[in-house]
Amino acid sequence: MDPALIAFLLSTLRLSTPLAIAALGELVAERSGVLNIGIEGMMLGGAFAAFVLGVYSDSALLGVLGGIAAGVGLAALFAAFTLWRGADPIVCGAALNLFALGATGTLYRLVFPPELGQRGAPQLGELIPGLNGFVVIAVLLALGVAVFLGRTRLGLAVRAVGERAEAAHAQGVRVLALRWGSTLMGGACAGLAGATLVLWISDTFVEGMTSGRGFIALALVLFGGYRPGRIVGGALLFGAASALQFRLQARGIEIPYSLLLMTPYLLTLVVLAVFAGRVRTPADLARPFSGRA
Amino acid sequence: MTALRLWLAPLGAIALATAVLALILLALGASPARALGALLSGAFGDSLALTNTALRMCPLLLVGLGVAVAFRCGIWNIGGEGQLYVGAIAATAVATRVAPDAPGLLLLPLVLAAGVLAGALWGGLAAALRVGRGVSEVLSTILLNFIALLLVAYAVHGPLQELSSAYPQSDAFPDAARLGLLPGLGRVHAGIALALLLVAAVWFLFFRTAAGLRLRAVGLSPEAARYAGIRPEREIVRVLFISGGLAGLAGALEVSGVTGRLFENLSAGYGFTAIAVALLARLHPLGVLPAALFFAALATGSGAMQRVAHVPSVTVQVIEALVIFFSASFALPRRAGTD
Amino acid sequence: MQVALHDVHKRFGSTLALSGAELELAAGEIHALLGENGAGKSTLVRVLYGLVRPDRGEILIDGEPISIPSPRHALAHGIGLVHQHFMLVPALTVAENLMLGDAGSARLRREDVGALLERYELDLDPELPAERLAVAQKQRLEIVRALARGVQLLVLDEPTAVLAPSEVELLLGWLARLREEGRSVVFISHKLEEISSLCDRVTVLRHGETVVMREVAGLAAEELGRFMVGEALPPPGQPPQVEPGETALRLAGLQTEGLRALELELRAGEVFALAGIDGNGQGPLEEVLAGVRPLDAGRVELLRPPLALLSGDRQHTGLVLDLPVEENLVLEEAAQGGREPVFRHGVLRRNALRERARATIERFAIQATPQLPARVLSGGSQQKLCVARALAAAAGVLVAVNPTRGLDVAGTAAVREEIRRQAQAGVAVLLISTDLDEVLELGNRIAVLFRGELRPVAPERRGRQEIGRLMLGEVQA
Repeated sequence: MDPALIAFLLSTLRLSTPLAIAALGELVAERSGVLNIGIEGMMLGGAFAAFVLGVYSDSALLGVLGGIAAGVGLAALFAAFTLWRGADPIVCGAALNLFALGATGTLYRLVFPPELGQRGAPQLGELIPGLNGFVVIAVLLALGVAVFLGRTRLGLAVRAVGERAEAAHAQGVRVLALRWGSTLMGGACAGLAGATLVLWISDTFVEGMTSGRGFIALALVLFGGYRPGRIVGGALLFGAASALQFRLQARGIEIPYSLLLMTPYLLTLVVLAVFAGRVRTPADLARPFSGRA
Repeated sequence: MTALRLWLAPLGAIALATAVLALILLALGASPARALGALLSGAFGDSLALTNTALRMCPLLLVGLGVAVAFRCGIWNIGGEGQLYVGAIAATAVATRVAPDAPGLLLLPLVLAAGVLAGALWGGLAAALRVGRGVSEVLSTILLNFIALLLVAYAVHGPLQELSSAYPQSDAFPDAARLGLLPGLGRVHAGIALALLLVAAVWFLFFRTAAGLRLRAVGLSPEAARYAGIRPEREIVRVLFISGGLAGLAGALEVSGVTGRLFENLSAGYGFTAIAVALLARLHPLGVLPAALFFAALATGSGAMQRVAHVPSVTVQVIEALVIFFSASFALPRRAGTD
Repeated sequence: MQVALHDVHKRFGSTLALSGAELELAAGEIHALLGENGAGKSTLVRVLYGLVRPDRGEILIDGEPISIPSPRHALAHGIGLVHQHFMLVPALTVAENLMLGDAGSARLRREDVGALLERYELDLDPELPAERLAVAQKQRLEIVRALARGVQLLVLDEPTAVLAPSEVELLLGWLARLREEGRSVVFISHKLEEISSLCDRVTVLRHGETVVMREVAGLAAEELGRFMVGEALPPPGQPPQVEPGETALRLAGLQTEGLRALELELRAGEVFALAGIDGNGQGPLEEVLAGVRPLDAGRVELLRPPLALLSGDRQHTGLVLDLPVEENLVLEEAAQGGREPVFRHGVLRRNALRERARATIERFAIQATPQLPARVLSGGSQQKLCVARALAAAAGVLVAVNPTRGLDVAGTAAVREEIRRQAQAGVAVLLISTDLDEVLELGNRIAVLFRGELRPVAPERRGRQEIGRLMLGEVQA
């Protein structure tokens, strides 16, 4: 096969993996009624944590765990304000992104002052010959989420909570506990996606390096019609578009760099314009739940 | 609600945020007292500090006003940053390319009007996507932010780049396109007076006109508003025009009054800080005044905080985020839920 | 299992819902909980079911005080609740709704669902989404779900309000069966006739307190009515005497989702009442008349404008709850840019606004001040506010949808009287109501809405049973 094509396909796989992982986590959260626009921040936090742990322990695995932990921690912050205090999730999601930006920026400058020079994080290798560990994780995640939501009792409860929380509550389902769980899960996936950025796609951390991937993941959930398989497909589509963009840059095509960089965002807007209106979102999405009066 | 209770929430939010920050600083080995002291003196300590604070207050006031109005109508305009930049681009285009030789009396209003129009259209784009295609404005405005940022990069490397092509920035604005300075206040430009006027105008629009009642009704209960004959779609478009226009004006004022030319990273995250401003102000047009002052002081003081107490200036973003979290925990004067 | 509630108090904001309510239930009985709207019946059973936390009071099961902090606990104690408007998840299937429950405990499995449906003779497709079920089917599903969880005490909140007369009989039959099985039933209602045929004992609530608790046998309906309201219930009213005038509103061939070739002519001075079970087109018709739903085909001809709408859902479509009373009153004016005297060139004039509000409050005897947010008003006052707004401009046509839903006896009488007055003044009134008594009380002409079509009722066939069968589509008019 043409080596350029292989390179393109590999590039696609690499670029789509973090999107898929983050989107799958957000899928579970949204199915339970939690709209989390803060996954961008959780991804950034995960990237930073993975970088720090990876560099200092020289273990990619610890980096992965660190990324997940950071994602969960940030998600807990988000959940505390939205689920406990009933604060508006959109506002808190935006705040979380800001928080992550400031916190990772601050910590990065403190932990890695310029005098220390450039450091590289260890890379996660192949789990199965030919397939990077992250790809394996992504595939298992997709299958797991599909089975969980569609075939398990807990998954049914999650879906009920997202469609009509008060009805689920009236049947004895623990609404808040489930929403906490799904939010933390979403955070874990976002953190893991962030780890992908520093442990596979590149090996350094740059402030703000997520560059909107979290929002693309949000769009992917809609694009995929809340179905894991289609979400993965959408991620591949975006990965391919990004890979194509890099290809064009490398070829020296006469399009200004900054316009090329707009591709993912424009593509997302187009995708949303076509699909957003048609998708049936969980009926209780982003609606607060009050429990006992 | 008594005046005291009205202030309780914002003050409480600030107090809590400060307390959390102090804890974080302690954990990092920095001295909270020193950092906060540096912050305050950096913001208000001398006339230079005051000038900088005032200058920063202007865009925060305008964008914050726009965000507050939008949020009150149930529209999550997270795109203030992008709308600001687009306004700056349009203003620069008019000042340096389209009509640089126009007489002062004409040029300055044209420049500002271009900024307003561009910002309004950028907001309108999100409105069109929402009303026409059902796209959540949360996502669309955020994506448009990224695109606007890249448009600035494109402009200053390309069509709007200075004629000498030395740096990625636009030509300097001709004098006729520069905002006048306020007498006796150093570098503080006349734009701040315009901003204050707009605060009053927006307050009036919101609470004393039929148009404002419609906007508020849509924000509180789109279904009931619809039954009363109000068309939520129209109001959504209007509010995003207003919101975007205010941010675009802020952008035009920045290039015309402060920097004198366009370049990347012109806005110190004003669009996002404006969200914190709006929330701290409890979405009230008049409340935006003290809120904008607070965050302007924070931003100005952060430089001193970095120099004196070695706390990186990006830490203010953490404070902003905490203020948003705590403010949001107290019930806001609009309905719950997004749609 | 003996369940008792003692000295229960609950305040919601400024409203005192319960002030010392009592309820004592014996095993194997059908117990009626009676009271007018707003008396506290729903609140009391929601306390029992763990949906509401009482400010004071205790719950006893077999003499032991227990705590019920959530429905999970209520179910664990064998208490079940069927809500008036049901607590099914619309997007989930019948089977999924049945299986839904506390995720940890041993619950129904897919295989068991079929067996369960059979045992209770519930002829439903398990894979059908719950939202596609008819009202009576949803109710039966809710009951079966509770029974499957082994509840010993089943509470039904106003179960007959949403049923046609023959369906009511079926339900009562089911409940009798439950009694034979040794379970207890609490039957909430504000309709006296149903109590006497089925129930063993009755508890009457008034203004949040228990006023009487005794055997049903030997109790006359009017005695019960007096306990409910504190005085003799007013006799049901009569439709206004009218000479119908010219046609004021004509609907021709209306077609949209939920309406099928709907035709009607409404004349000035008459009350044309549309009966029907909820879900047969009332919502779409209201939306079409409100102008918020487009038509696929057909025409609405308003020959005597303006059209005033008294919306069926005062909390969501009728009022903007978080706006003050005075601003709610002028919403429609604001929608059109504002009219004198309250607005001038689009600018709001505070004094005029307040004056208008004060005058309206006085005229309709609303318990409110102009600046109070509509949210804090009582249900009756909110409804009066809606009525006031609808009648603000001299209307040619008045469309009233469930105008007395949730109102107490006094409020109900007041609103119905106002509607009669309007008709007598020459307004053309279209009444859309799921309350058959209301339809019979107010309607000069009656028709039944069934699956989006109108079935007229001949004047000589205004019996409840007959209309009931039309409501179920059993008879071609």
